[in-house]
Order: sequence, then C-alpha cells, then structure tokens
Amino acid sequence: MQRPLNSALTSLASLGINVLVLSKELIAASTVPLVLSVLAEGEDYGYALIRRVRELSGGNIEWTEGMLYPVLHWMEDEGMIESEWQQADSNRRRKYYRLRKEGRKALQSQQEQWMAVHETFSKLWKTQPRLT
Amino acid sequence: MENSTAFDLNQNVSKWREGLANAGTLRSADLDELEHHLRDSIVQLRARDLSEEEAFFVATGRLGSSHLLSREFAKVNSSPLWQGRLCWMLLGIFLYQVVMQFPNTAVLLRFGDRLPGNGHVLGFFIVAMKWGGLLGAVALLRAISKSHPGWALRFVKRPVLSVLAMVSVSVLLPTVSVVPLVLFGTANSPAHLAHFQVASLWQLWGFTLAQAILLPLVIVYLTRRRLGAGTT
Repeated sequence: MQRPLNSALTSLASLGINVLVLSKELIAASTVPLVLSVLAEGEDYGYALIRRVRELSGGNIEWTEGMLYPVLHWMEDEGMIESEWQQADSNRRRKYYRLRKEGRKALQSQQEQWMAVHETFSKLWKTQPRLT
Repeated sequence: MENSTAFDLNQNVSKWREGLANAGTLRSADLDELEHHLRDSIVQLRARDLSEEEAFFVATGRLGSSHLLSREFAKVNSSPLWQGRLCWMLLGIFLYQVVMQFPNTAVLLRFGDRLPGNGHVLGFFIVAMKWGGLLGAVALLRAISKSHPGWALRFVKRPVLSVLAMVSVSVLLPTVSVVPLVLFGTANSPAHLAHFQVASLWQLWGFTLAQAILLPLVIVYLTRRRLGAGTT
C-alpha cells in the first residue's frame, strides 16, 4: 500500500535531496499574489488552484489547503476577485473565482514589489559562490 | 473494537462537517465549499491507490484541523456581517435624507409663488420629486455595491468615521437648506404661506409613507445581497 506523502519524503531524503519548506511568514506573504497570478490565467476553483500552485512550485509550496478559503473570501470582500457557483458535472458544484479590475491592479503592484526583492537578491547573490 | 466494520465515507464526511459546523464560525456556504474540496481531494487520492478510508484521512489532514480552520474563518466571517448590515442601514437612511433635502427646497423655490394658489398641487410635486429622489438613491447604492464592493468594505471597516461624517453632514445640510426657505417665506404673502403649510403636510405624509415602505425594502435587499453571496 502506498503512502504517497511519507514515501515521497523518505525517497527524496534517501536521494539526498532537501525538501524546501517555506516559512510561515513567506507562505502568508505570497498567498495573495499567487492566487492573483493563477486567476490572471483564467477563472478557477479552490482545489484546482491549490493543485496548480503545487505543480508550478514543484511541490515546494504546500498550503494547509483549508486555509486558502478564508483568504479567497477576504480577497472577495476586498473586491479583488468575485465568485460564482457552477455545476461541474452531475452532482458536483464548484465555486469558481475570477479576477476583477481591482485584483488586476493589486497583482500589478505585487509584481513590482516581488520583482524589486527578486532583483536585489539576484544582484547580491550573483557575486557569491552557489550554495548548492 | 469495531474495526472490522466497513468504512462509510458519507457518514464520515458528514461527521467531519458537523465538527466544523460546531466550531460556529463557518457559514454553510463555507462548509459546502470545503466539503466539495474534500471530495475532490479524496477522488484524486483514490486514483493513487489509497483506500477510501486512507484517502479520507489524508484529505482531511491536508485541509487542516477544525481548530485551525474555525480560527481562520472567524477572521473573515465574524464582525463584518452585522456591522456591515448596520452600516448599510445607516448609509441608506443618510443618503435618503440628503437627497430629500434638495427636491424639497428646489420645488418650493421654483414653483412656490407661481402655481395657482393651491398647496395640494405643490405638495404633490414635492412628494413626487422625493420619491424620484429616493429611487435614485437606491439605484446609486445598488450601483456602488455592485461596482465597488471594496468601498463598501472600507466603509464597514471604519464605522466611527462614517457615522461622524453622517452626523456632521446631516446637521449641516438642513441648516443650509433652511436659508432659502426663510427667504422664500418672508418674501411672500400670508396666502402663500398657507399654501406652503398645506404642501408641507402633503410632503410629510408622502415622505413618511415612502420611508415606511421603501426603507425596509432597501435594508432587506442589501442584507440579502450580502448574505446571498454566502449561500449556495
């Protein structure tokens, strides 16, 4: 019987690969821009959104899944996104979230901020030997 | 020990849901959304060879404990609901009063001394304009709450400031609009003043009627819209 999470972690560890764990603070700071960025690609529902982020991050970004929903609802209250229940198939309904104009503005400002941080680190770390 | 009995997924899901509901900070729409997530997650895990029972426990674990979830949902769900309703009610009443001051003054100034000496006609005009003003205010509120939900929230977040603004404007506005009325009153004959009194009676009744019927409707509409966003 497979235990995917544990087995994946132990096999990675045996290969000598460190599993990167993002700090709580970084997770908290990056959730909103990540959601905005994924929704900029098109509307999506919570579960698919989480899977998309997990895939893109190569498994480095692991959210406590349920915690995404209060964030989504907060973003909706702030007017960044809007939601709508849709019938997915016979007996499944999903709440789809989509970006609003304010969300696009927020995304743009987040992009600028993260790029500023990224560029600073890039310059600082370029002159030093790689850590890996 | 009952570990030989078959695992009943639906029973376990509803038990899990009940546990979250008992925490008291999740709305039923939140629970629906989480349950759909849980079931999606279980389907995915089942495809990776986990038994139903294993999939259920992994999926609930990934969602987070009920303690954690209730705490996080409390942050977005608690105060804004009632605070929001209260602020919308205050905003509605305030806007309504502001808008009503202008047609009243305008009609008296424009037609007060011209209409063939009949206070009833004047009164009817004022009432009609006030109803129009009220409908305009409702349409404006609706448009704002639709196009800028962010504004509504910012307003809700600073109730003290918004109430202060309301009070100061509602004090200032009647003070300003009394001036032309006083000028109008002193410049006209006693007959006109009598018409003015009849008109005032008219508009008082028309006003009260509008208030009695439309204000509760506005409030119900706004609160249902807020709640409506949360129901399935």
